[in-house]
Amino acid sequence: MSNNKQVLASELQRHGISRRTFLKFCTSMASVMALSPADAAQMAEKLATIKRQSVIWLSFQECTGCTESITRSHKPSLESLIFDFISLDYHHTLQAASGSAAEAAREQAMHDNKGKYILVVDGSIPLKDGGVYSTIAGMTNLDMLQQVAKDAAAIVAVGTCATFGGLPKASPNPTGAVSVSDIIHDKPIINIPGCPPIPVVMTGVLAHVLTFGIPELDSLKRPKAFFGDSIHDRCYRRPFYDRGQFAKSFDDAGARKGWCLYELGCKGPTTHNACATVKWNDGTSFPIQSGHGCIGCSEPDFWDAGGFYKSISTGIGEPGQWATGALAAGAAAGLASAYLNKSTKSDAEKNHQEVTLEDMGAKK
Amino acid sequence: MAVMNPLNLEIEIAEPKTGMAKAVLNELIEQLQIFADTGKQHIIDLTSLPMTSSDKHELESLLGTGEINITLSTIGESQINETAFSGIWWIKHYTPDRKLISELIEITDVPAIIKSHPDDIKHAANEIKNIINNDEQEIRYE
Repeated sequence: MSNNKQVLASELQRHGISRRTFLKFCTSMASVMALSPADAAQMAEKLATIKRQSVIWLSFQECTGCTESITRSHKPSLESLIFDFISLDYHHTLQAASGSAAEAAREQAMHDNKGKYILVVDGSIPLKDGGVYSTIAGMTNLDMLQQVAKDAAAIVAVGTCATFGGLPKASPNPTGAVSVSDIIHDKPIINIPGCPPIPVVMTGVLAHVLTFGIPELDSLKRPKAFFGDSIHDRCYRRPFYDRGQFAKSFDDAGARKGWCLYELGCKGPTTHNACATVKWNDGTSFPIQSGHGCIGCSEPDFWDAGGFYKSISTGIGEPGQWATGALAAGAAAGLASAYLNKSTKSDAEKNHQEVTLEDMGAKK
Repeated sequence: MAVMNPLNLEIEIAEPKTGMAKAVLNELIEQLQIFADTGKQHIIDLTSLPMTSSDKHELESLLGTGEINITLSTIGESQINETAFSGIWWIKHYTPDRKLISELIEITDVPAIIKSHPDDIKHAANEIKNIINNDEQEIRYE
């Protein structure tokens, strides 16, 4: 962990990365973050002046998929640069130190950066039977979260487990798993759901926190930049939905023509995430592009929300849980003007009423 | 879009046109007028528009190629080309393994990324000073 006073610009210079190159990456980052493309230059200037930030990463009841995801941001780009630039002072999967040395590193970082460090959490926290179902160094997840959260500047909950309880919370929730925001109420919390979250969404949010502070959040504490649109709003199959052209079964004629997967159970209309624009595996594809509907992995209780292959219109789960308002906002967004202007978008949301599933022409 | 058939032969299926290209053209007309009148630049982020590959090809061929093609050789190449229409620039940023990471249409006279950054210019002056100092040292030791 090198000098805390160093700014990113000197790090860039040291690596022989020109500011032009940096602007190029900020441009792609701005696109991903749904900032106006014109803001990229401003972001590049701000980001160049940031100082090294201490980050403590706690992994609780999780599968390590979130860490796998963030370490696989393939692009030799701003995201990996940001990830390299932060001072990851504790991450028990990635750090070299182990055992009591690792815990000492955590305590040292907490002490040195009191009130200033960012706490990243993946995994849910089991509360049943005194929290015995997940412990680190003999300490329950609950105790460790409370101890480290106390002096954190902000908390970033990554993955559907840390944000909403995720798979551990799925019925019958044997460990009494809860999310970070169920426990911590006195700190700013940013939720980045997804099973796992998109790598660039994690690093993008960190970049945002470092440059512009806590991003604008929705009612579920998710950054609007990434979770403001539904998958459906940004789906390249959306024009087929608008025309009423639906695949009726996998691999039928409609499916082969790339028609909308709504009737095959796609949860795109009720799922807020950036998969349709950012895509996965270095921008290769995303589930819908591979011919499978979205399963809604970044929404609360997705595992218990009915079948993955049941159409939303057949009444899965409780409709109230699903954000039908997004459909109205999506329909309101003009096509070419769909370039993300946040103020325009919130106006559109205000001026348009919610549509019901029946309005969408869904079958009962 | 490529799919596999049972004989493992790759078949290209063309994604249909959806009318997006014409929609973008309308936005361009409006923004060109604004730029001509007020100097206000505009950027359309093609990466985040719901366009099929056919839509993109359609738009690209409608806008055509202009007088300036610039290749930016940085970590991965970038292509910065003026289209057949003055003031409309088509910009493609690639990663080193030639993956497209962002694609923009800029309405401007010169895209910002072409200009040298003041910090880099300052750094360049220092670099040249270093070269001179190193040369002088070498001469002294000889």
